[in-house]
Amino acid sequence: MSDRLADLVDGAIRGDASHMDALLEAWWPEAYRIAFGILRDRALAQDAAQDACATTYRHIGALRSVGSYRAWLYRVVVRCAQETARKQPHVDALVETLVSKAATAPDIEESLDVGAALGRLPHDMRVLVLLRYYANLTSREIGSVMGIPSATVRFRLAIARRRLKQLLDTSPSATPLSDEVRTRA
Amino acid sequence: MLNEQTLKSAVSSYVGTIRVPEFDAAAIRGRTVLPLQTTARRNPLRALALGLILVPCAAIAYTVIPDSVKQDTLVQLHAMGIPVDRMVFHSGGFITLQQARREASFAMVLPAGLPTDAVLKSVTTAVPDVFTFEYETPRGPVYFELHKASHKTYLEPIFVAGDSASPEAKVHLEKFAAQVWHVGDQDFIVATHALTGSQLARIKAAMGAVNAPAPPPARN
Repeated sequence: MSDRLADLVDGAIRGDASHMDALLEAWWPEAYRIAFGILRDRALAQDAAQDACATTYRHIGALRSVGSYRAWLYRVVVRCAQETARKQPHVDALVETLVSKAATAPDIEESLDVGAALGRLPHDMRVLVLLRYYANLTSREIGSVMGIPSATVRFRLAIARRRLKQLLDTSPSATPLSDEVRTRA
Repeated sequence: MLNEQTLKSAVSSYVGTIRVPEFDAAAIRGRTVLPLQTTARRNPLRALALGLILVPCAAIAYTVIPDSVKQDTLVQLHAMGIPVDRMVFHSGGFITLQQARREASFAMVLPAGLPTDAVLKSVTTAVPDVFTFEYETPRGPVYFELHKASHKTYLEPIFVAGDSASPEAKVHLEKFAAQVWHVGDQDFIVATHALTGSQLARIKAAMGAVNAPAPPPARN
C-alpha cells in the first residue's frame, strides 16, 4: 500500500491527473478513518476527509519530495479534522455525554472498549494515539504532523497511554461508543 | 496489561472496523474550487467602511468584556498554536491556572529556578491531581510533573523518553528516575536531558524542595 501510495504521490506531484485521482481514491479510507477517530461523528468525519482530499488536490505541488509524503498527508487530514472540530465545539461534549451515559448503565458487564476510551481522551492526545498506533508514524513524523518536537510527542504519548490504561482498567463497561455515534449520524 | 503491542493491536482493530463511506469524487472536486475573490477585493470601499466600524467596536468591547471571557479567548488562541503570554491548562476542555490551582487537592508549588531562556510552552493535566509543565530551552525540552505527595499515578522519566531516546538521555533519565523531590504537600520530578546537574540543583533550591522521603507506592 505504501509503495503504491508513494508512486501515486510521485505522479500527482508531477501533475499527472490520473495519478491524482487514484491517489485520492486510495487515500480516502485512511483519511476518513483518521478523521472519524478524531471527530467520532460520521458526517463530520466525511466532511473533514473530503476537505482533506480537496486540500491534497490543491496543494500536492507544495510537497517537494515523495519521502515525506506520509507525514504530509496525515498533517492535512489532522488539520482538516481539527478545523472541523473547531467549528463544532459540541462534538467532544456529545461524546463525553454518550460515554458517561453508557458507563453508568446498570446492565453492562464488559470493559470499556478502546473506542470509548479514545473518545474520553483530550483531543490532542487522541490525535497522537491514532497517529502512533494506527498510522504507525514515528515520534519524529508525528512531531512533523503536529508541529511539536519529537520529545514532546513521546511525553504526551506517555501521558495518553497512562490515561488510556486508567480508563480501560477502572471504568465500568460501555456499549461501544462508535456504534452509538454511527446511529446518531 | 496495556503495553505498546496490545495498544497498537487494539487501536488498529478499532479503527480498522470503522465503516468507510463511498469515495465521492464529485463532492471532492466541488471543494477544490476556491472563491475567486475575497470580499475586500470585490468591494474595497465596503471593506474599509467595515474596518472603520469594527475597529472602534473591538476597542470598546475589549474594555467591556469580562476578564474571564478574555482569558477564554487567550486559551483558544493557545489551542490554535498562537503564542500567548499566559499559562493555560487543558484536559479535554481548557481551564485557567487559577482554576487549576483551586481544583488541585494540594498546594501547588510552581516550577522555579529555571534558566532564563526557558519558556513555558504548555501545562497539561490528563489525570486528576497530576500536572505536567513543558518548557522549551535551546538545548531541549524540560518537563515537570507535579503531583500530590505519594500520588498513586507516578510517571517515571525513563518512560517518558521512550524507545527512541539516545543512550545518553536514557542514562541521564535513569539516574534521574531515582530522584523524586518533595515540597510541602507536593512531589515532583523533572524529566529532561537539557539541564546540567547544577541547574537541576538550582531548581531544587529555588522551589525549596528536598528529596522525597520514600518512593511513590505505585509506578506505571
